[in-house]
Amino acid sequence: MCDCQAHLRICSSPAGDGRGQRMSDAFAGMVERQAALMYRVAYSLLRNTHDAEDAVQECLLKLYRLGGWQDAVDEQAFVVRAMWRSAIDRLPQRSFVEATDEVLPAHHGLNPELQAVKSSNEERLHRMIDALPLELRQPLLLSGFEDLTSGQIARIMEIPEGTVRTRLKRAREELKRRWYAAEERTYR
Amino acid sequence: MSEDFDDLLDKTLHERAHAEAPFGLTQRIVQRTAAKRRPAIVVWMPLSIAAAILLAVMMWPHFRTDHPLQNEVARMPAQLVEPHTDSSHNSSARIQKPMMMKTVSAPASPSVSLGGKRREKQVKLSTFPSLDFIEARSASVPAVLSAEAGEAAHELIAGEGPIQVIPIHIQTIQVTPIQKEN
Repeated sequence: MCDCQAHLRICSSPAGDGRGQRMSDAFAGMVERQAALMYRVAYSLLRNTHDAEDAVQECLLKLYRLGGWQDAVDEQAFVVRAMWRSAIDRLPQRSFVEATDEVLPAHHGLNPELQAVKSSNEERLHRMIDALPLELRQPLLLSGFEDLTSGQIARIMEIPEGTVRTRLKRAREELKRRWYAAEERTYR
Repeated sequence: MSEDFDDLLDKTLHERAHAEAPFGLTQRIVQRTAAKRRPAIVVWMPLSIAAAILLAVMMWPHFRTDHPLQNEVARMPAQLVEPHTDSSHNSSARIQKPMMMKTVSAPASPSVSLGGKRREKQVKLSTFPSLDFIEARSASVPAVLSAEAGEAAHELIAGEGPIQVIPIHIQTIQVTPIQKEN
């Protein structure tokens, strides 16, 4: 039994109710399996470590109280969908200017000038992704997770798989259009 | 150029989707989840249990039908009654009905036992009284006599002035003429 299960067993069921302990064990197991993916989903949308962790905490607390995840056919898709919705609820509270307070990773093997250019380009692209409409942003960000198949993305978004592919294509084309428009304005 | 952009986009998406979770994230989440659940158990369970006990204590007297109720009946004060002088069979000795009282619908089968020279009569109600009757009793209000009990009382002491009705038992009342002071 992992530490999480032990902790939940101690804290959640003082009366020693067998059903409560089984629930706690199952929940702890789900957290062990899905917490990292949930964090990555939250971070991909919020792009802030503390906000992402809070969003994961809030989502897991809701899941624990409401249940439902135990009966889900695809636990991963169910949990990711819940996480996505929780993360979206946090979005209006933050402006996109504050969206990234992280230091971007260094690019090894490049001189400082090129590093700066690359970082600047990535940062610009991050902001463009954040500016996309939600219906296009969601499949685009979820497609970055190799863990998720297009079928799972379709289940998460509750749309047909064909629609997922269409929106993905539109999202990439829209980003490309905006990118080159910005490049043109920069170098004019 | 297009390929450069596609590569950049794929790399950006990959970086966003593979942000490393902070160290100890899972344990922190589990600890906080358990901590947030604890107040529900610590606060609401005792409150619920206390409320259930209080409700049971308040409702208990309504369901008891034995000795405490008889004692309650025995403590009831007698009530003065003016007998009807009308000789019609429909008349019955009626007690002045206070506001809170409810009427007993049980028919009475008087079992007469005249006690000595004293003209009094015990009337026994054949049917077990209803809960309303019990409530009326517990409010220290004597119940309205049934038609048969009233007739028996009337038969006994008709025309002799006021009578008093004393509840003896949950199913028995005593009807006694009030002695006039000379």
